Amino acid sequence: MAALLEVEDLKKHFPVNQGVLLSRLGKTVKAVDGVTFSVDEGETLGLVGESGCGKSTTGRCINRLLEATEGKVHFEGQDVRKLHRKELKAYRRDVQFIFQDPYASLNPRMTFGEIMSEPLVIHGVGTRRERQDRCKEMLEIVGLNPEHINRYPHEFSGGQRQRVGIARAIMLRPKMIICDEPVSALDVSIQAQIINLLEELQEEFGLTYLFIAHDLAVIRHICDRVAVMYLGKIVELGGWKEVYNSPSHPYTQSLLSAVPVPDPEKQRRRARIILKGDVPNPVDPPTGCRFHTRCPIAQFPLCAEEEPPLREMAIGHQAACHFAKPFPIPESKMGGEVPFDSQPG
Amino acid sequence: MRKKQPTGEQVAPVSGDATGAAAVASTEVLTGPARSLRADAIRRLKKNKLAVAGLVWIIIVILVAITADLWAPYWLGDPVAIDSTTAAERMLLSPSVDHPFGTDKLGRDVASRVVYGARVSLLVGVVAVAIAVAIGLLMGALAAYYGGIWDAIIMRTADVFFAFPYILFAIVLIALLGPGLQNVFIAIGVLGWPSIARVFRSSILSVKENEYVDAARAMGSSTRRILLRHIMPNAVAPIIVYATMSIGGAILTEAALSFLGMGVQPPDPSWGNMLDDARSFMLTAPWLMIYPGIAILTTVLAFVLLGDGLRDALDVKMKE
Amino acid sequence: MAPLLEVDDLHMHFFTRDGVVKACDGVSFTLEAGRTLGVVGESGSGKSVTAMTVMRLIPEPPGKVVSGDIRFKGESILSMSEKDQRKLRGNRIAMIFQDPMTSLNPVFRIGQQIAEPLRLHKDMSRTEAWAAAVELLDRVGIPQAEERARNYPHEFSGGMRQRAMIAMALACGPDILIADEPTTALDVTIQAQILELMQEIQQRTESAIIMITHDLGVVADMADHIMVMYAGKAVEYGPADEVFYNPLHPYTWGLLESLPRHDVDDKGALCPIKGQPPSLINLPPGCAFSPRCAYAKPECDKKVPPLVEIDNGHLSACLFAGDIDFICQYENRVKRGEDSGGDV
Repeated sequence: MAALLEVEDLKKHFPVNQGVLLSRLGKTVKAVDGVTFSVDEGETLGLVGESGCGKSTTGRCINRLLEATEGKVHFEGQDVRKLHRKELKAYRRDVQFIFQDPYASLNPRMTFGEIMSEPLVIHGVGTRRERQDRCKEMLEIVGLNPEHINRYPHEFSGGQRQRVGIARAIMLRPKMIICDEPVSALDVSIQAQIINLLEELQEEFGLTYLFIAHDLAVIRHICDRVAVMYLGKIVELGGWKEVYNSPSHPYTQSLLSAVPVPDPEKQRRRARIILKGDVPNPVDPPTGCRFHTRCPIAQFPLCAEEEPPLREMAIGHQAACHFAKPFPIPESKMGGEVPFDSQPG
Repeated sequence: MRKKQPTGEQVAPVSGDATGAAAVASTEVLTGPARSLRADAIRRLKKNKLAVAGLVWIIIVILVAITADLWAPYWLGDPVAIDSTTAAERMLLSPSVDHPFGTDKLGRDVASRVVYGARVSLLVGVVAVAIAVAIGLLMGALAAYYGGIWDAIIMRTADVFFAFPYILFAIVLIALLGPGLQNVFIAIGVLGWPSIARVFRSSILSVKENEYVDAARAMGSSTRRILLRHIMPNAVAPIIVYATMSIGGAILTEAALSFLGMGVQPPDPSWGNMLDDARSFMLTAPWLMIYPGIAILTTVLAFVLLGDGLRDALDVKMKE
Repeated sequence: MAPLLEVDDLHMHFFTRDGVVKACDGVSFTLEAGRTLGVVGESGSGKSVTAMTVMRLIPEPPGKVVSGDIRFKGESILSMSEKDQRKLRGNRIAMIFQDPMTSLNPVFRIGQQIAEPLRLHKDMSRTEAWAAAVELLDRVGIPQAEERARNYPHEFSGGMRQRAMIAMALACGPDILIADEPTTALDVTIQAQILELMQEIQQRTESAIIMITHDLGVVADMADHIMVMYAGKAVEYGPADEVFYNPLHPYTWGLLESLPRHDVDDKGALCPIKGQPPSLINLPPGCAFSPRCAYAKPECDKKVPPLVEIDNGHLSACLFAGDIDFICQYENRVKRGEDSGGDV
């Protein structure tokens, strides 16, 4: 069975501008540099990584908020990159987007009702009355008082605004929603509310999620499969259990080990891998394996010369490392021991 | 479809139980009517005493100017006509009950001339700024929308305008076009568009960055709809402030041009040309200078205060 | 011996046109040398305001310390003159802010900014201060410190800027380092570097750290003691292990429960705290958390519960914290030393 969304070798390069006349200086920021994955219907795929890894850019290329430089994006078999006006508009009924910033993603001059009914208006759905009813219904579904339909965003908190953003995204009953850091800007106790809401909606409406975030705990909770990104590439891809319990790529291992866990004794016991240095500049990514400059197990000259492809470690679990070895963590998961003195091989 | 109750009931969060995430959110009841941004801005403006004072004064001046024909010639005297028979007696009288601001060298009532001069000033303020705004909005929008070479052309042209001293430029334009009120509109309007264009362009560019614009695109909105529904209403706010303050500036420019004899021609009164007439009588008949001067000062100040108040009122938009 | 820092029932209110914002409404804690206090709370809890009040950085209108005291080495900061307070700031008590992009002045070189507190407090000459700044940069792990000191902030990455901020804070060898969400804006791997750096510095210099954050993981890593804040008040205070493994306030329970579990394989729904944090202008008459508390009783709305000691050094502002049956209602506590739910 074909997947709902198939992405193959997606690339997005941004030109580095040197003013109006000299913009063709050849340098580009390789924000996304060859990303391949697929999303099945009904599942939640997580894209996780630190800032600059290209996860948001990938999301935006999929619904064509940004135009990809190269690569294939197929949704239900259709080539998304080749869609024109009417077809593109129809595509945007099926694939919706939830934004990170609840303060910036709602037009401050529109009421909740206007914001939520906009997708309906754009696609010519329903009469005015029907749209109003649908909005009120939706407000209730996302847990807000339907009386608030005529109120303005600035009268509400971040969490409430994000609920409206979510409501807006499901108004057209899309097949897939790309969630770009939907809870990062919210308080901890509100994050849990919103995550629960997203999960309930997924079940109720049969949604597929592409969930982009940097918070590893949230990703672990909500995702079925996880793709770890670094500097524009996917370095590890697999089911959440495999990736979190047996991370194979040294970057994934460092990432998991770096996340502080709210359990003092576990924190004290952990052996942690602290990566050296900063993330390299995406204009000039390192040669060969992009991670080799910070990698604790890099071996020269191989890692500096040859870029490792995504290799299958186990069924449905891939890692892009010459020396990746699945490292099963016997006791739980994030926060367990990850010794690096194991011989690569 | 399952409906969740917005509930205030105490529900112990037991682990594993899929408590309606919905049930958790809306324990709040907002009182009062919906507060749109405009309503909020108006409320804030009302609190600003200086801005309100400015607005009140402007309204007074407008009313006085509009209704002038109904009362000024009768109570105060004709601003233009010279009654040659009585002129000599009525020359340069100091302020009195009959002539609250005195009379000028031709026996005309100064107060009446100030009132009619208000018409000129307001007209110039509004019309000239309207011209500048019309051109400026268009240019700014084009520069922001197309970007690239068009942006460069438009903005560099604006820069050329900025390079010249404003008043000098105005004088040159009037010299080319000829004196008169109409040409004053044109001159001030034509010189005023670059600032508006610049402000509008940067306003659009910054509004474009907002995620709600992306959100509109992501749901399939046409570019036209995005421009009209999302970008314009939000980008226009700084223009309101700028335009208001520009009216003050336009009034000053008109006064200067008329003072130099290039604007409103005698016998029509304008605050500027009244000041010109007053020059020779500064010490002997100071009222000729004081009252038009005060008129200019207070009116320009009123627009500036109002503009300032508008800026503060419109500024605190999203987060408190 | 008097503790290094003692905050005694501090109340700091903002008097605004819309009402009195009780940003800090009853905070007490002590800090010893070489120890870390973790101040945990969400936005609006008053944690940053408390720190800024200790540094006396809150402008006096509209803010005002309504009651309470802050004592540094036994001496009251509040009764000091402005001049004496300035001698403390940057010198004995230093602060690191959240956003390294905006807390460094973009028009001055990094080296100059680090040298500034040295010139102010230690009376060093320009060359001396510069040399000391370079050394500090080196100590906080900036490679090629000599050259990098000449850079401007925009030439540094986020993590490096934060290190520069730490260097600036450490310049005069302060007794107390207040870190206000120092790693919130940083990536996880960089955060790990910065936290490690701070711990290393603490070991070397025996300085005390006040770590303000909303991230319970960071606090579990760094803190010896934890103070949980809600709506401007301290609702729980105690040794870190106690607060994590034996929390005594329903808000703490709520916070701990609402986190996605890192160790459980069976993923059920999360357990969020219902409702929203209150507005600090219109606080409810009794316990501020009561409207959101799943265990609230009528007494909770009557008056504000005081922060009282329940156990040795462990305080809670819940009326029922001392009642063992009440405490046992919280079932989801993380078990010390074991895993709850292993491989299923």
